[in-house]
Amino acid sequence: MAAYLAHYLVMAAIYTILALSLNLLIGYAGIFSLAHAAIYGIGAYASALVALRFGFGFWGGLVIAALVGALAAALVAIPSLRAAGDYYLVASFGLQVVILTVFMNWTELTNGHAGLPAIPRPVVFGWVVDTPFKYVALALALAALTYLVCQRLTSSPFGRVLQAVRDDEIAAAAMGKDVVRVKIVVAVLSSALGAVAGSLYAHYITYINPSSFTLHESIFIATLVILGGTERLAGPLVGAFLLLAIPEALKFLAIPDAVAAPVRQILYGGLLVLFMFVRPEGILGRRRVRSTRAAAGAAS
Amino acid sequence: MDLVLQLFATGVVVGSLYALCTLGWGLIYGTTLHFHVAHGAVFTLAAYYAYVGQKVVGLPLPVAAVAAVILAAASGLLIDRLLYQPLERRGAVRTTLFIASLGTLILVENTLAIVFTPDPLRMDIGILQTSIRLGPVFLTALHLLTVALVIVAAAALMLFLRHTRSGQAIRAVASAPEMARTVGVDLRRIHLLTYAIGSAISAPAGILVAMDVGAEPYRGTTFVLLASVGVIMGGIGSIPGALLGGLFLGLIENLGVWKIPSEWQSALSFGVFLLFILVRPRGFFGRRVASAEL
Repeated sequence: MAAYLAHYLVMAAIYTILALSLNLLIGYAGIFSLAHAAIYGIGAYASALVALRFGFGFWGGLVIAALVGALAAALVAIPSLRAAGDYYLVASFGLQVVILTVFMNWTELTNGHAGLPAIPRPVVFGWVVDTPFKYVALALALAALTYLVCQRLTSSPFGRVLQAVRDDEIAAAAMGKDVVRVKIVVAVLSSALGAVAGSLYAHYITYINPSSFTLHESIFIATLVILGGTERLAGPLVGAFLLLAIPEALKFLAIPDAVAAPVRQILYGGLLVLFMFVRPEGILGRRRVRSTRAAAGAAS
Repeated sequence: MDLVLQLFATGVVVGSLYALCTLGWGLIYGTTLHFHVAHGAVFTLAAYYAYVGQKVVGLPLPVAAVAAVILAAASGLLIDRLLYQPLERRGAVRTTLFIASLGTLILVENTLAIVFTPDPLRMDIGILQTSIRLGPVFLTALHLLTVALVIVAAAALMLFLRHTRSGQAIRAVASAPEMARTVGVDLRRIHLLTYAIGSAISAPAGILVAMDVGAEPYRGTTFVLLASVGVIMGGIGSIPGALLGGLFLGLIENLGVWKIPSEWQSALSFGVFLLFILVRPRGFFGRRVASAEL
């Protein structure tokens, strides 16, 4: 039971990092992404590969993961955010498909469907993190660190510009803010943090394969953010801890294995629709004060 | 050379399926500005309507197919009536509509997976299975029917939008909703009509794929997202653009196989897409959409 709880806490911490980082995009910048699982996977693969091939330590892997994640996001964000509108949503789906294809088919690098086994456990400043309980401490510490980074970021002048861009792009541009650059920067930062979660996951599970980083996983991470509450930092935290408990709770109902996954998905899909009707800002979110332009658009 | 011709022909067939999705999704997106991912659910439902019509109810195939198209049009209309319109009345922003749409897609797909299992369900297509030889190229009658249907659908849609009052009202709403309302166009009614027509155009794609390789619960997601790629490449609000965008995706995917291993197909189309929006963000023929409009 204790080991079970430890596993839940580690995964909840990892998903907290994913949800916090995606919330920078969805909640604070108003940009929807379907590629967060791909970014998570990039972090996991990058960090696993440098550890296995070049003997990088935990911190080295973490930094490489963040850099590669940021680079991948930049490649997509620069063309699509320049073009504005819904292009990033479509482009992020494209990134998700391309990256998953790379994980599955670039076998010399990623070992394809078979995945990468025997990823070393982290050694943090000489402390060998080899039991689930030690990993709980490491994962929670990194989740707390991510929380602090997001807090600083969103309350900084950059964070305020970001929210201004979300609420009224034209007004922000009129105030002399470089709207496109702000969006690209937040997409890159969000991905760097998301990739860190991947690194943490790879060294925890010690075996990764493409099935953990699919489009459905991207949608799941977005669900954590939306149900937990956008635009508020505690929202993704609550979303991750609550929603990860649902599959565990479902195990106590005697649902046959074959339908367990679709039942869970139906629950998430139903909750998404329900929340849009009764509480679109999520459990902890703040009700959005809509700009007059958005209000006029919705009324039409 | 024969291989290239065969790949080209397959590309046109697959591209025609994408083009049906692109036409339907693009009409809805261009008119309502809803990023309607639940269109994927309509696409998948159409396949299962046809399957149930033939295999459970026992209707002849053409009757089952037509009934499935009508039911799919009704499903699309109901999504607007029961989901988007009530949300818009509550003052929902576009992201809210998108999330509700995504939730609906997940809900429908997984319900179908539980009711019908995730495995493909085959239909009996009789003579449509006959293979036909055109020079060095082999296709089935079903494939030729697919290409013919796209031409008919695109022409019918074009004529409808140009020459009927309802069609002109849809175009008016697409280009200037406020103005259309001022001159007495009922926006809600036009949205419902757009959803019905857009769904009816894409439903045959779902049914045709099901006839070819069986009905599957999770196929709609990929098709609808590819449709959005095709619409952006073709240019938002353009019928020839949507047609070309869909065909182009099918062709890249299949001609790519000539030089590149087939498992890289999907990565190839998206690689081209990303290059494309860098060079020509407004698509082949489209109007530029400013972010404030979206």
